[in-house]
Amino acid sequence: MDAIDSTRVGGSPVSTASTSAAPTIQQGLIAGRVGLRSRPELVVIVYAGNLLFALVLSVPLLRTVRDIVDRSGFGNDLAARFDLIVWADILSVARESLVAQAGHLLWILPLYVIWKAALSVGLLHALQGNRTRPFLQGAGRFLLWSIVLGMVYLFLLCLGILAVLMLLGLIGSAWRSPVAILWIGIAAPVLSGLLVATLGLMRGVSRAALVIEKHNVLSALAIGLVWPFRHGVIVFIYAAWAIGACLAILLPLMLDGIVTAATTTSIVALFAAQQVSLLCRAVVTTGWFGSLAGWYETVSNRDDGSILVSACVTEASAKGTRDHDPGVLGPSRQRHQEPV
Amino acid sequence: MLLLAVVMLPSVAFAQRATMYDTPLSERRVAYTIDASLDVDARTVRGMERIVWRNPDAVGVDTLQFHLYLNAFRKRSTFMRESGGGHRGFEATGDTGGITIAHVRIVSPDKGRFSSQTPASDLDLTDLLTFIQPDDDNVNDRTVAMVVLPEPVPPGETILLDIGFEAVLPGIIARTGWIEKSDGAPFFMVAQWFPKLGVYEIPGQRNVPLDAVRGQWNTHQFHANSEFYADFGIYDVTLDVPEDFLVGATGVRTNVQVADGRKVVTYRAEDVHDFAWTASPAFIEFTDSWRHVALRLLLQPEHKAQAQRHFDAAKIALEQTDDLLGVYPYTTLTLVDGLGGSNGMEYPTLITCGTVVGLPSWLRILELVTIHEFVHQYFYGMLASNEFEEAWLDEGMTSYVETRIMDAAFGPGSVLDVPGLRIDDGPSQRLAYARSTPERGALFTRSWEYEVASDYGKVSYWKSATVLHTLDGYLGEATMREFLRTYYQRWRFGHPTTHDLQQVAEDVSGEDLDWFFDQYVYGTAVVDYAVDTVEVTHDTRVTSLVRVRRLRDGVFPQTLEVRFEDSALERVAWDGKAASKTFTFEHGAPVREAFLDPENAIWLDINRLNNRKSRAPSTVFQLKYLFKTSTWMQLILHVLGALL
Repeated sequence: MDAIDSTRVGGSPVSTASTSAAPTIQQGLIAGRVGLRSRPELVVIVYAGNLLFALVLSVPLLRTVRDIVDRSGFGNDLAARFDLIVWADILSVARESLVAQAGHLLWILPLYVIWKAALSVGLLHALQGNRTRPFLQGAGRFLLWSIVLGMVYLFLLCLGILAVLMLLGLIGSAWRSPVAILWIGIAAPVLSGLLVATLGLMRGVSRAALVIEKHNVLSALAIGLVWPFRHGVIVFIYAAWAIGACLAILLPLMLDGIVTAATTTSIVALFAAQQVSLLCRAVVTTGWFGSLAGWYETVSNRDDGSILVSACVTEASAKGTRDHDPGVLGPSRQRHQEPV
Repeated sequence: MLLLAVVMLPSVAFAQRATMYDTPLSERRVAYTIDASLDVDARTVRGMERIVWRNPDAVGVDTLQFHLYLNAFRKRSTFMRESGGGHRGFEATGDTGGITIAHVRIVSPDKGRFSSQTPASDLDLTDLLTFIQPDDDNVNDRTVAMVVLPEPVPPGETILLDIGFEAVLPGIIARTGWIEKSDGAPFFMVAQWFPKLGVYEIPGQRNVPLDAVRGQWNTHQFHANSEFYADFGIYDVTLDVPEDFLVGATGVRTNVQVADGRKVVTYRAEDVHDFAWTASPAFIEFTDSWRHVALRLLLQPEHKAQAQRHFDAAKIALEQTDDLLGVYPYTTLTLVDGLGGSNGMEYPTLITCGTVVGLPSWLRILELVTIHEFVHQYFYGMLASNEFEEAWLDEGMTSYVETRIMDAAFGPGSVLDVPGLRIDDGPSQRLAYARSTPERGALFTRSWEYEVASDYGKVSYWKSATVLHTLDGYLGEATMREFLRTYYQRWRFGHPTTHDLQQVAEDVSGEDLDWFFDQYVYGTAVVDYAVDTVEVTHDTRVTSLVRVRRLRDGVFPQTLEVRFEDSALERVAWDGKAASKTFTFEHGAPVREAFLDPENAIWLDINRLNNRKSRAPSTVFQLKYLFKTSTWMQLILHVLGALL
């Protein structure tokens, strides 16, 4: 029997878990797809949230530039083609205003951190078990600890990137040649990207532990750091979604470079195509969290827990604060009923 | 046995001649025969040279002046004082280098290759050699030497000198010296390495008055911000290097002999004013050809994949300069992929290009440098203006032609071509000028006398190219082409001055260009015109008032184009002299927008944005950039989100 049964969709519980078999990549992806079908409104939340932040940032900056361009009469020319000289003149005139605007918009950064933390736990909450829980409920209930986890992982990321740079610096000082410089130049962003991806996966697992099993932060952190190594299939599931995410990001960039939109119709068409791609990016995000929730529930059920659970006795289970929604997967409940 | 060894030497002779002509192209006032040997361990070149100099003056000349430019890298030299020990991002190492003269002797014409006999004491000038500082008071500068001859060289007669010298090469700086690769392979760029005569300018030549009694030596010290000036002649140079070294040099290779672990390579160059060479065992060699020119590329092995890019760029440069300026008369061009501070330099028929491993095809730095250095073959090599006194005639003209070639050959995004961002060569130089204190620094300035040293680069390259593009816009494409070709044809091998160049421009265009040269070549005028207001009144008829202003001291004739609401266009001319002027337009419809310099011909205008004013905002721009900005922000946030 499959670890995750995707035969029932449409708001009903769709996943059941086996205590004997590890989930496969395909099953993990199917869980994400089922989550998407069950809760399409989550895609809209992800997309709309990001778009809202983008507009809040864009509009004031654009207004500054627009005021300058409108007076100049270069608007149509600039819409038709890139003009280095005129743009340099515009930025020269607008530099102080843009810097001030950017300074004023810094408040959005902490807000964005909160949003990302809330989004993660909100999605996990909504996509776990029978996938009927409200997004906002999860976002509200787990936000604080989600932010703390996010900050811990950000700290780890900074340490990791520092280590990567130091390592490459040492290699570079020992192996001084143009070829080495090229490879270091390639390796630095690649390793940093891999580090970001790895920690991103771990952060997701930690948040899943936080939301699905109500682990405390330390336990969730430990689970996040260890489980991807113990249950390697999640790495492939994550990679599969990450490829989709990269494509969904690259497509709008490519369109921006290739298509020269200078008329209202072509501009709207280009924007629509880019937004479709970004909507796909939101689909990927939602699908990934669906896969993560399904995988976590399955793995937490079949894992004997001898290593982790002993190390990560949750306050939640100790205090009896477990979620007893009827739609929650059986294995999740069962696991904490077992002696530790 | 010795004879046998000589006979058995592997020897390769080349039949190629140095130029495509049988007759001399220049006056050839000087000829150098040099035998030199490279001591790799000591990083030293030891040599003997014979200089044959012909007095071009109508009176006797009793002094000679020499460039000893390798002494620029000694401590406390003028170069070191001006540069602070660094040059274009490369710092001088502890090995400072320098040139020592072992002897200077006058020899009679019937002597052999080099005289081994000790001459009469009055013919040994070694002790008479003194260092002079024509440009500053730095007594520690030993880059120019002078000797008073026992008797003057009669008019039209020649003097033969034998000079023994030892050139200790510095750790590479200012395109000269040695450096070791990471695998230990040495690389030598040997330039400014032998005692070389200055230029004796006769009355009427360059800035020496025609009615002067006698000519004068024009010999400058080596400066941080200047390149060179020398006379045309013939070079026969024999270089002795380790057998495994590949050598590239000025001129045509006439012979190669290998024996006892050494390689002796002979070069001949005609109608050139300098001789430089490079040697390294690391080089790999590629060859190609373009019409009469044999192309030779000495490349670092790690850049092997970019060999074709070098040749393609060189052929583009050869083709385009042939079209724009005239024929390249030499039969060789050697492209060198140097190391450290050796790259981006021109010597007669030899240029250093340089690249990096993995240089992407959308970043055309390799092409830009190769084309730039090749164009120098015309302005530095054959026109050979005095770069100490009028650097812009070389660097500026070269930069201008380089931008034309780059932008024509590669189209939009000629320098950088990535989706969404295309940077062209010409506009980027214009921008660099406009954003770098444009009111500071005249083109006609001696290279070491800029108020701020860094202005040399801005003025000699970017501003000069911008001034010439403006002249191009003013004269028109056809006249500019004729000007360029005439300038080259009239002055090649002639050391032209700014005055000579202006004269050609005036002859070709048929108009007095003092107003242009006084402001933008000899002066520091800055151009900035603006459309100030566009007002419309509706009385019995529709009247539009367009007020334009001159915001800076530079005066330039302007064209004002107005577009009416019914899309009709009207153009009026303005001499641009007044501080402001109001133009009145009476048309059936009001003016919608007014545009100064609509053809974008005046590249010197430092702010193009204010050249135009519209009464109707562009909804297309608003829409496009709202969408574009918000899309980009979404993408950035997604990437940022991966960290959180």
